[in-house]
Order: sequence, then structure tokens, then C-alpha cells
Amino acid sequence: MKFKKNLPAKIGALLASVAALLGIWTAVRQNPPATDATAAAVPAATASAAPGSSAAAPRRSATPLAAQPAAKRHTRTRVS
Amino acid sequence: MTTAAEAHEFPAMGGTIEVQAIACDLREVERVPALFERHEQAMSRFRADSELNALNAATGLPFHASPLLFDVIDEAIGWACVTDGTFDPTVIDVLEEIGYDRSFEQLERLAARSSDGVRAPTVLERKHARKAGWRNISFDFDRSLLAMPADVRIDLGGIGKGYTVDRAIESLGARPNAMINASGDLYASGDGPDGDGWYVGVQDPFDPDADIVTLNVNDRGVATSGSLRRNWLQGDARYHHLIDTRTSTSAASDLVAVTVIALTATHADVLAKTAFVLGARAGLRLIERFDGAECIAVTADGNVLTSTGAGEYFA
Repeated sequence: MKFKKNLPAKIGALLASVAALLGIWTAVRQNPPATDATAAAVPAATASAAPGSSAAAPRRSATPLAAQPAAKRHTRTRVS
Repeated sequence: MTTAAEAHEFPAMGGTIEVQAIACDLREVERVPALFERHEQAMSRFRADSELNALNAATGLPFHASPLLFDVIDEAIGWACVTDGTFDPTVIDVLEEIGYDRSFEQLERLAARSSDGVRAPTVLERKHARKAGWRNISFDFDRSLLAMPADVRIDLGGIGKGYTVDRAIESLGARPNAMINASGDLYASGDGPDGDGWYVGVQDPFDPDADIVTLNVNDRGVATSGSLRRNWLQGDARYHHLIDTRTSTSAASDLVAVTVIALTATHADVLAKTAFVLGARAGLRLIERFDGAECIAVTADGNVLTSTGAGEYFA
């Protein structure tokens, strides 16, 4: 039968499609597309850091933003 | 024109709650502390007689929850779905294993003590702790019943304050001119005391007395999450309360603080924690994908990163 004759080729094509889809899925999961220049310029998280290693990072202050804190302030955030 | 604001402060949820209300019904403003108390009694895992602890002790049996607890858990599980489990209200086992088994105020008092022999969890224990979780919680919306496996417990510390701030603002009426700040998780509603919005300083995580920028917001929630305040030593390792569910321990993020501006305080609260755990690259991308959300993130080396539209809120 024609169906049986083409079966190996069809199975091969199916497996190739599944493999390609898995490859795309893996790539998207591991490296999603950048949505803006700011995010793309940021280095990746340090996966090798010890638990909570950022907790004790010595630093006197954060880099000031272009917009300086305004004189007027009704309330403020707190790190929680 | 400046309008006098009714300003109140009261202790709740392990911190100080600040309420500023302009031309609001004073009776409603005075009820806000009671609302926080009701929410804390329902949601706290540090109160032995809280409704949450009763649910966590239900050992797999259906639990009839109050509308409040049912709703906040529904909201929390919704966020677990949206973030694919990065925000996970069932990491209570991990929090307890790394030492966050009491309120942070109590932890601070015990900070001088050594780890008194508490060991780190084994890989097998962590796998056991993670084998079930938010995906296995069932909701019966008609009968307000919750059911979860016996080895799953819920912690609402990652959403409770933001959720309560939103409900408290709603209790003041439709778009009240008011701001409620629950130890840093806040919602600024209306046009502010001077009619030009609310001015919110964003605390410098390395210098608590300084701000890195001032935001000008109205009808937005703002929340900050970070690792520099709630952290403690256990053995030789320093832990903080923001858990990475991929590793079942404190997130090894390259960020030290994330401030999120969002449509509600709940959104801001959850997104700040989630972005922190994901780290600078993936965290900022996450924020970019949420309508109405912007963020300001501070890296461990002190650089300040912002999402595309965050500058619109700079005063």
C-alpha cells in the first residue's frame, strides 16, 4: 500500500518536526527575545552566586539617576 | 491649591501603616486600622490563631474559607499561574528550612545568636517540599471551599500587604484622594494634596536615609522588594526571604532592590518580588510585558536600571 510504503519517511519527517519544535521551545525558554534596549544591555544574573549573596553587597549608595530626588515628597518606599 | 491631609500612622503587619487622606470621610479613614487588623488575622502565618494557620492545619481536608482568605488565595494562585510559579505562595517549607520561621522582628532579635545546629535541607528534602504546591490547590467557588494536599501550606507574605492596601483604598470610596503606605507597599489614589499627584521617594537600598529618585504618581501602586533588609545568617550562609523556586532557596539575584509602579498595590507587590527573583535581565523583561507596570532596579554593584517607561513617573 502507498501509505505503508511512505511510512518510514513520514515517521522520519514527524520526528524531525518534533525535534525542531523542541529546539525552538528550548531556545525561547532559555533566551527570550529582548523587548527593549535597556533590558538587553543588562548582564545576565549570576547563577553561581551563593544563596542570598547580594544581601551583604558592600556599597555606599546606588548610582544616581538622571532625575534627582525632588524637594517635594509625600511618602517613600521601603525595601521589604 | 493645597488641601490639608488627614494623616494617620498605626502599627500592623510587622511595620508601620501610613494613611494620608484628603477630603475623605473621616469615619472611613478611622476604620482603616480595623481593616488591616482583620486582614492580618486572616492572612498571617505568625499568628497561631489566624485563619491561614487553620487552613494550613487542615491536612488535606476541604476548608471553608472566609471570603477574604478565599479571595486573596485565589489572587495569589492566579499570580503563580501568570509567573509560571516564580511567584509561589506555597514556599513556606523552604522559608522555614532556611530560618524564616517567625516574624522578621523576632528574627532580628535573634540575629545575634548562632544557628544553634540547624542544618541546611538536603536535596531530597527540597524535592519533597516542592513536589506539590500551588498547582494542586482546588477552589470551590460556590461553597468557598479550599482543598490542598496535606503537605502543602500557604504563605501570603508576598501578597498580603499589597492586597490589603488595595482593599483599604477601596474602602475610602471611588478614587479617593488618599495614599496608604504599608511599610513600603503603597497605593497613591487621586491627585494628591496639591492636585499634582503624589510624590514618592524611592529608597536607596544602600543608604536607607537617601532616595535614588522621587516618583510622581496618581492612581498607581508602588512597591519595593530587596534582599538588604530581611536577611539573616544561618550557619555560614546568609539568606533572605525572596525564594527562587528553581533552587528552593534564597534567590541568588544580581539585584538588591526592585521598585515596581503598577496598576494596583497587589500588582506592584508581586511583580517587585518576581522581578527580583528573576534578576536584572529577565526581571526587566517581565515588567516590560505587563501593561501599566514600570520598574527601577538596583544591581548589586549599585547600577540603577529602569524599564522603558519608568522615566514618565520621575518628578
